[in-house]
Amino acid sequence: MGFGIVEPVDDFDLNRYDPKNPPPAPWTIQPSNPALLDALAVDFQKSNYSFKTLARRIMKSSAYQLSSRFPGEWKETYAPYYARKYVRLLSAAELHDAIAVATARPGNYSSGDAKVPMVQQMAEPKKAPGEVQAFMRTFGQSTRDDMPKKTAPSSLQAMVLMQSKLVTSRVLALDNSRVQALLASKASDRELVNQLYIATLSRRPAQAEAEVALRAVAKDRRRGAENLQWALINSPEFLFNY
Amino acid sequence: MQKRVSDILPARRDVLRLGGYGLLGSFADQALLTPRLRAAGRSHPRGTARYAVLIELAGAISHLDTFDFKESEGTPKDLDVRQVRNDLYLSHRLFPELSKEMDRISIVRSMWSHEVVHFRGQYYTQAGRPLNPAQAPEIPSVGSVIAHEFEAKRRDTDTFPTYIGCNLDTSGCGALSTGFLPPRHSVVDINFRGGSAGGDLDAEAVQLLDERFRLLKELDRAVAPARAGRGAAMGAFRDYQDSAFRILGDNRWPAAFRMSDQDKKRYGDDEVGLGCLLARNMIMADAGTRYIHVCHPDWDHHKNIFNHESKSNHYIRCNQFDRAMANLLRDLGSTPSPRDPAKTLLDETLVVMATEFGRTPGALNGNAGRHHYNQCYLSLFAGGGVKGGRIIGGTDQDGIKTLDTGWKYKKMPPKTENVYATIYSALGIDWRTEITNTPSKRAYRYVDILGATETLIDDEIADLFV
Repeated sequence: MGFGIVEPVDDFDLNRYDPKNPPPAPWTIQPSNPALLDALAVDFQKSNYSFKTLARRIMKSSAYQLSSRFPGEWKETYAPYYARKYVRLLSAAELHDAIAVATARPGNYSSGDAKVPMVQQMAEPKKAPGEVQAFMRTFGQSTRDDMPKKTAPSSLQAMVLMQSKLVTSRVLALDNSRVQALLASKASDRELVNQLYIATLSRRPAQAEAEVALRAVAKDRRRGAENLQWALINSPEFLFNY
Repeated sequence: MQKRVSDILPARRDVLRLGGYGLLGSFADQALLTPRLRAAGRSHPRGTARYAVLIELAGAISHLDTFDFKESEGTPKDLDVRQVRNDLYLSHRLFPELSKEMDRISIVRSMWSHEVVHFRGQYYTQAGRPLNPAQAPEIPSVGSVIAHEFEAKRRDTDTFPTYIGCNLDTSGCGALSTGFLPPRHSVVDINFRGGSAGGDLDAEAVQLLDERFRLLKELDRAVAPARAGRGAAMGAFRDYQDSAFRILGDNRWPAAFRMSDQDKKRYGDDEVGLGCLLARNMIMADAGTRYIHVCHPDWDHHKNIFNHESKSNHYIRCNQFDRAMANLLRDLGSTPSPRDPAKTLLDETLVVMATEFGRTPGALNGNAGRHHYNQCYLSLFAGGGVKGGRIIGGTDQDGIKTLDTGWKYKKMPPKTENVYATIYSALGIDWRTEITNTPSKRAYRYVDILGATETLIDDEIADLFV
């Protein structure tokens, strides 16, 4: 949901939880919606503590399915009440793996004795190769266990996305990348553009976007396709969950 | 002629004005677009420096083996300690270069630290105040406060971030956030160990970036109306992309990262050497960077502090620091200021060596190392209006306790708070400013007076300047 019923989520205070037994002033009840928290807890127990059921319950709720657009003027004080979907930057590992999936260029990382294609599958992401670690640190992956960091975006993150080899080498028509496979296929320019949009943003381009993209591809098919995927990966739509 | 994308973007200052507040899910950023300032007293900032470089020896340098030399049972035989001046003995084995530059440097030997462990100590060194876990999320690093202060002074040609860090990710607390300040005042932390160092884009790469960025902007504009109203974060990221592009497209940026083999040899091809070299280049570029915090890791020698076989020891770290700082002082000191031909860049740059505390005096411990020691330690200052060749404060014959604080407060030894008051003063920033509209409603003083055990003096170390 992007915001806890109790915030911060790792700071539950059991003395401030029960509205029937309120804490002495100036303390206040901590959950933004104690009844909802309780109902979720009871439901969780009834499902024999199934996280899958809990996740399904939340995802099927109308609050979860709200748009990130809010009709009317948004005030930050509305945040605890799930009045809209909250926009968030993907986490470091999510972002890395999303780039790997979009470009069809998975990694090959050691997790215990096994090899895994995604950082999120690693038992210890801290053991990822140096360039992957440097990339993830920029997006808030902590190098330590004791200091989780807030990932406020910065121009450094934008810089890294623009020039990190993890992005620039993956968009090239090399090593069975998505761009290479599409160029080798018999796909028309329009189909190529559609496929890059679907693979990167999970949607087809709008007409106005398709026109811009087709011009880029028509000028130089290979370079145009590489540039297009670079631009789609660098677009806020890709970087944010919204 | 084709326009570069940078020509069609709004000027950086406008970008900043549009706001880059993107702290996700936080209340603070919007409310604090305009921090409310209040003077907590009177300070008279000197404004003698345009730039400041802080070199942090993270893990703590031994005071008594270095710039406050005391012969002890633990002193190794090969330190080659010689008299530099009447009042100064220094190991030429550890500091072959700085021993030639001591007339530029003043030593404060009477420092006292609130902290005795690294995590808290390194936080203290970056935040300028002891860690208060309840308040920590809203506390900015000092560099971000400086970036906030200098924002209005940025010129349209300034593309570089005001606050640059080097290797801050190796610090025990990582690179601190901007706290309640907008994220646009964030440090841009360059990591020389992991290899993501700023990037050296050749002409072809810049051309490619230009082409790609143009495409990104065109695609973005094509669907702009469809995506209004999703909150500030995504829009803020576009502003970051604009400044990132501006930085990457400014040929002064890759030039600042281009380091000749000769320079690398002089400064050292290591964290502190490359950090100081980058600091020099950033200052010479005069492209907006005003404050550089270089973190030099791995000084924590509880074991084998003077064992040549050991992978990390004081010989190695002191030598690295020695050539980095000495060459930074030399290069800045031999470059005339573009603003005032009578001055050098060193006259305009305050260079400070800071560390979180000292190391246990006397004999070495059972592991042939020295532990943490907060009762006295030292800091170095040069340039930016500081008179060199001074020694401020004095310790007893073993380096166990301070006998003379060396400044006008005879009962209160100087602390990291005062080091930062000094940096603020040199940069012309009123260090008694308070920001009152913090999320916790507790006023943020640039230099806090709440120490671990007592109320502090929030003054600069004025004796360095006169």
